[in-house]
Amino acid sequence: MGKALEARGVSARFNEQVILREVTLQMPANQVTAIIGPPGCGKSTFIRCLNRLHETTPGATLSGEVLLDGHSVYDMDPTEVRRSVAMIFHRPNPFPTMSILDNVAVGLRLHGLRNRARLAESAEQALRRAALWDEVKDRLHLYSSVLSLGQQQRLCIARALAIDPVVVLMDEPASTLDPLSTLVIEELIEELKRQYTIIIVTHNLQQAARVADKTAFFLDGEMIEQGTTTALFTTPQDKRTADYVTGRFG
Amino acid sequence: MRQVSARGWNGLFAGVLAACVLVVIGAGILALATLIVASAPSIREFGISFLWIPAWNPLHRQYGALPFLYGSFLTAGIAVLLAGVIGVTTAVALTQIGVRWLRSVLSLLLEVLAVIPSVVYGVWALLVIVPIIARLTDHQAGGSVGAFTGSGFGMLAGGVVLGVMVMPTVVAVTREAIASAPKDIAEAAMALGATRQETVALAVMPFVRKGILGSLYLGLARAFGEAVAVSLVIGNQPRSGGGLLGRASTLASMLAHTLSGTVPPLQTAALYELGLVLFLIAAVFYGLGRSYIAREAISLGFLPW
Amino acid sequence: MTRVSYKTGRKLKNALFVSILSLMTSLAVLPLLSLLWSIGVQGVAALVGLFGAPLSRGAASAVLASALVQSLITAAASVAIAMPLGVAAAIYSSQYAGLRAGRTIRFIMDILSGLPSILSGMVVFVLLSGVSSMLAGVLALVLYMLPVVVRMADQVLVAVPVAYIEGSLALGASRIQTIFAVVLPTAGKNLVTALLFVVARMVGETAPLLVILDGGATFQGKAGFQPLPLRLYSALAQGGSVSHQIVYAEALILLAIIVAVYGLARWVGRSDR
Ligand SMILES: Nc1ncnc2c1ncn2[C@@H]1O[C@H](COP(=O)(O)OP(=O)(O)OP(=O)(O)O)[C@@H](O)[C@H]1O
Ligand SMILES: [Mg+2]
Repeated sequence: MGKALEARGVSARFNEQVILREVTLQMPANQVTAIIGPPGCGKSTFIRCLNRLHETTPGATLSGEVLLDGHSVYDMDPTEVRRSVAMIFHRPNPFPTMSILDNVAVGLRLHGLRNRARLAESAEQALRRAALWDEVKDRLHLYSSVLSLGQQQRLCIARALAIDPVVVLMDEPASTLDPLSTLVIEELIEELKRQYTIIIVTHNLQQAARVADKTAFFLDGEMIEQGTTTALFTTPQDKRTADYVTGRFG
Repeated sequence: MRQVSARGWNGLFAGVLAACVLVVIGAGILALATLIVASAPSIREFGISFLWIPAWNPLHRQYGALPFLYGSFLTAGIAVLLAGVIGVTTAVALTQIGVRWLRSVLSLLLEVLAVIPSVVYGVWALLVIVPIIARLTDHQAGGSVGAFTGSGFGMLAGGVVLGVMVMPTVVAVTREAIASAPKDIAEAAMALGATRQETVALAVMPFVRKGILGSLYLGLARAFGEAVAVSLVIGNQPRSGGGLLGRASTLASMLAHTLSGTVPPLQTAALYELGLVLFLIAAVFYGLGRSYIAREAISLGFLPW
Repeated sequence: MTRVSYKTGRKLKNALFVSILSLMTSLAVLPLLSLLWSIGVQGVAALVGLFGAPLSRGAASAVLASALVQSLITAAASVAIAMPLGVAAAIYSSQYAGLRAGRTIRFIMDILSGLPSILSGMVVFVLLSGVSSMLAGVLALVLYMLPVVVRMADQVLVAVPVAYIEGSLALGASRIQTIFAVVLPTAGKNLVTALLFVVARMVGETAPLLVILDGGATFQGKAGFQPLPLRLYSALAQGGSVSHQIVYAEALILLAIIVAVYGLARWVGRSDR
């Protein structure tokens, strides 16, 4: 089951430059929360704070709190946080030096599972959840680069699901994919939210409207408005939100 | 009065530049030809067996490269082993751990190491390395400190100095390779909950193998070609055999040591043949090293010798 | 999917990894610190000794000054020949040569860069049939610096974005105008840095001069031309150990000059931030 995630007054900076200002946002369990906003407004930075990936960048600092099911992730071991809060990147990034199977199994191996049969079993399960199994079951030992981009992105999803996370972060997961692969990913998200809490960054407002239960609008490092997707798109409270969702934004 | 067109000027300019290229290449060919001509008497006398004649004996007019090949390969081996182990791990450290200001200070210090002249390394080696080795080994040698061993001079001292001189190359080239490894793959590993060590092993090292190999070859080239510092501490004894602590000679150190005196003609020719052998080996290593390194940076690590 | 707890082992491994990296990094900078310390301490003591005593002051400063001047003249002359020639060749290989020709030139330069410095001295010695002069020393330095200059300059010039060059050509500028107005100014800072690196190495270079000047001069009693590095080497090679004050003083001065040139190179090449 998914768990709720909550950001409380999260501020982030690169060197002296402030990227995020006091962002507070609730991301309910087993729902899809979409984050929208113009390029460079700090969407990626925000979700990278949620799995503590932000702090691995040189010069990056942050303050505030992120609570996973009520527990502060900044009090936990970062590797454990990342294990519970998985991440999909905007460009598919499977390990090019590993086979398809190893790509999915590597997370479990890292976390100590050695038994081959169980690894294969878990990998299959993850690939099925990512709706990729039927397409790769005969090619498990080939390099991941034989797959199409859309398949590679689903491979990355399978890799993330294999370690049994409770939250899945997606940073524009379909932005480099063709319309058909995008559709497959969107259907997948619909499917996955039964088991995971999903936070998705997207540039595509239709996509947010299609998949998200809740949407938050970011501008210039600040969270301007949040609400149910329907409310945010139909009755925005803030003028800037209204401008953005109606495409009047300059 | 005819006007020279812009096209004409451009052609002239390109021609002059091309001539400069030819001058540089010509100078190189001239150098190689000179080495061959100057070593002709020795080549005629000894043929290819020059490479494995195990002695350098002016009294018997017997000259062979084996003692120096032995010394060169062994000292360069020690050097690249030391520089490889320490340099590669340092490059990983400078890119993966520690705070940023410390990283940049350390990187700067290591670059300074690359710019120090070899003769200054020689002074340092005489002041520091030779006495340390002497202190550590003279006890073990007991009373048997002969002409060929002891007092710190020898193969080990040469190898250690070379190792220090080669290390900046290894660090610079490896660091560059790590910097150009794909970031998103490393982030994928971290996002799976990999530790730093696991991320490096899984998602960084597979992309830098070539760079490391390249840096080691460049290091070998430099270790082979270095004459001055080595000749001051290696003891200058042309012998094939003799252990790490034994006095020895490398191809380059022999040249530095001997050519500053007056020598008989055949020996001079043999020395030039040593130089020829040295050039071939160093050029092969240097070329190999460069061929492994795709992206380059302006860095002292790429300066040869 | 079950969870396997495995935390402690991984943490230990990571801690070990970090400690080994730190240890190795300390080992890597140790030689530099040791070198700066030993030569710094001895060098300063030597300078104080030499210049503190009225008797030795005149002699010491005369010797050091002449060696220094000769060093700088040799280096300056070699730079004056090698830089224009090398940079011109690099402009050709980066701007005019096609893909294949450029690659061939780079390959040849790589092979030639493998020429160990001591060999260039030997070559010039033969070519000038043993005449030992400052000219021979300069030629020897030039011979072995040239391919390196070409290679360093080439890699800086190649890095100039093709878009800039095409933009300039599209405006109707000729190739020459493009090179002087776009390529060289864009590469300028990096080019100067790269060339200063080369100069730093050239000032301290001993080996190419060794054969020519040492063989010709010291041992035949006409020690007319002896740049700093060479003086140092002869003293060390003859003594077999470091015994004279002046050696430390010379080593320190040489070190200071080279670190200064290096610092200048870094300062020129600093990123504007
Ligand atoms: N490593 C970094 N160092 C310095 N500044 C950075 C770094 N990464 C991002 N930034 C800056 O932080 C700001 C926010 O970046 P971020 O990637 O979070 O934006 P984004 O909303 O995801 O944009 P996009 O929609 O284009 O992906 C940008 O102005 C960017 O220039
Ligand atoms: Mg982004």
